[in-house]
Amino acid sequence: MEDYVAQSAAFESQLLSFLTEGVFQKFPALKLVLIESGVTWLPTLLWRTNKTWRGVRPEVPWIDRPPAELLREHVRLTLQPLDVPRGDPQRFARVLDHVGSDRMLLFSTDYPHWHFDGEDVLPDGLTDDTLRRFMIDNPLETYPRLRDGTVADHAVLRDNASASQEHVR
Amino acid sequence: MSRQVVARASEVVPGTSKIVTVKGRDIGIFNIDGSYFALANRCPHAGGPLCSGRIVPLAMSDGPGHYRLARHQEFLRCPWHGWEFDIRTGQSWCDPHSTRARQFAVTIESGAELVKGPYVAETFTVSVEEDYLVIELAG
Amino acid sequence: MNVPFQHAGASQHLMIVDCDIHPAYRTPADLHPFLPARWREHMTTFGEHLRQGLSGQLAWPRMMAAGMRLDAFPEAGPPGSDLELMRRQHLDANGVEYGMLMQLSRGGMEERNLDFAAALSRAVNDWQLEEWVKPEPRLRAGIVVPQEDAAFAVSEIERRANDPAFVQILISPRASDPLGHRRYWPIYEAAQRCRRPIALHVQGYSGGHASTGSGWPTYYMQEHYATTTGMQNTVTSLVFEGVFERFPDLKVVLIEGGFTWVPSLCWRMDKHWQRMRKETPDLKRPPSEYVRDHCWFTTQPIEEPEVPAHLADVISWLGWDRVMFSTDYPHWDFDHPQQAFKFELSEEQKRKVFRDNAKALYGLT
Repeated sequence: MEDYVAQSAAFESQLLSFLTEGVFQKFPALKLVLIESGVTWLPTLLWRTNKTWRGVRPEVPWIDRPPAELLREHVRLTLQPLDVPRGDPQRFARVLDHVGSDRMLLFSTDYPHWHFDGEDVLPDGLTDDTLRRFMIDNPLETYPRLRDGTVADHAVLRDNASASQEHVR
Repeated sequence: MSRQVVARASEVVPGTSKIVTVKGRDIGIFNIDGSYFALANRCPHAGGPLCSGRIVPLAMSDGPGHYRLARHQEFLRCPWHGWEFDIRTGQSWCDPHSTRARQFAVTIESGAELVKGPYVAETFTVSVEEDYLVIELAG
Repeated sequence: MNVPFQHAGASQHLMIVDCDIHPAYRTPADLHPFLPARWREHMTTFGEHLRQGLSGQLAWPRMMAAGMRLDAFPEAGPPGSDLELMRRQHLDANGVEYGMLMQLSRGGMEERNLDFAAALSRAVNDWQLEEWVKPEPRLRAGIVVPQEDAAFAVSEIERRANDPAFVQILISPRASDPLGHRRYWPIYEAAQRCRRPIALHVQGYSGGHASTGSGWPTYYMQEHYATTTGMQNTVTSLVFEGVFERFPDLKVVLIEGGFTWVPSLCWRMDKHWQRMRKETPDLKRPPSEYVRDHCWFTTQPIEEPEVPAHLADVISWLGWDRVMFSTDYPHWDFDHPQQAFKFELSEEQKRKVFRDNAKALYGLT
């Protein structure tokens, strides 16, 4: 339980590493998806990286934009398990305000893990627009192959899968 | 608009600065390659004594792990949190649209025509050939 | 345009409690009068043997004057070593009614030789008393103890327990094991018994473990943030190991580790405890309740969200009575009491954050 909770801190540290080492400058089209990382720690990281950067910028001068901007552009996070208490319909909306973007989150369920919330996979207080963003628009924008139909041909998928199984045997 | 003599031009050589007090305001005067600039000695971020910070070049980069120094002696790093300000414009490098240090216009005048500021009265008397620095202040 | 210089923080007339001030030695020899001859000689001949790879160096170069405000250097000695300058530049100038001393270096927290660690801790505590608290009644000391030697730590806590100059107990949050580990429990027992909070100020080197759960950072920009993730993990450890269940009167102050992560961590701990609580059946209450009852957080380095009012949201989730103002004078990321908050606080919020929460916690009148 303690180790599971602490995973989110490891995600935070990795984000700092991607950011400060200049991965997003080296690979400007790269997207990074954090899966089952938690979400609500994100505002603190965006605020703090912006603030620290202003003071230590000459250490990492390849960072040429505010870190929060870079992270909003390059990073995505899946929604579940969502660390927001139930019962306050405004809570998640406020956190999303703090994040400053509705483009970063991707719908997920984490089925069939321990933490799977069953049918209760959506936070309170979501508008239909935001729901559509999370469930459809953001994933399509993040995963170009879903969008451009390179995997739309099921026959191709089936043949590839058979070929892989032959190889394994 | 009032104009105050604050220092001799020769006291602020290229790459250096001097903080003067004019009507209770602390103002830093900077010399970049013979041109003078003056900034309020108060960082717009959190009020620190901006003008006593280091005069630095701008660290730039062509990519991760690469450092290149440019615009030598044109930037000021606040002595508290290290924010970088363009001395010519007062603009914060990291936050150019919303943070700017207060600027004052600085010109060089020859000594005889000026209102004597409290600092340089004696100097003014010594030599009228000296070039003096004059600050313009609103009000 | 600039955010106007409103006095959104402390006003000129509100005397404040500063929960994080760093004194310093002019030279290491300042400690000699407080060390027995045997340890003076050890210090001169062998020096410190710290739980990190570098000797006498910060592991990441700071991007500002060894981590200090450039204007806080006295004529002689490093920033924080000159009481006169500290008074003039900070205590007097900023209306400090009480200041909590955080002595980080040459105490026993990082020293591998535990006998030397004991001698250093004792000396540092005497030094705080003689050189700082006695001459300057606004200051209060913390009992520095080596957390890796619980038996000695308990004896040093008991030694100082009757001296009101010492208001809390300083151990390193980057210890050899996560701080919830049972080997540190005798220290918490003594803290509870002697009615002093445990103070965890960001520092140290985790006995050789990497400072993040994903390895050693390259840049100071990362290390600055790693102090925050470390504090999160420390709180998680204290909660799930049952420290607050076992020591119901224990108080813990987390200093310079940020605080805006607290509500989100509490939501996260609660959510997963609800599912997996059978792993720790001795925990009787949701984690967030333990944090609410046992933990305090200092403000510096305060967050500066793009929308300043967002910070007010987070503090109201955390609790206006749980946050205590600190400056971290004379470090570079110092917070000025009148500039730190970029949104307007109510009078009651100002009183709590800048003064009353700390006075209540530390028993100051």
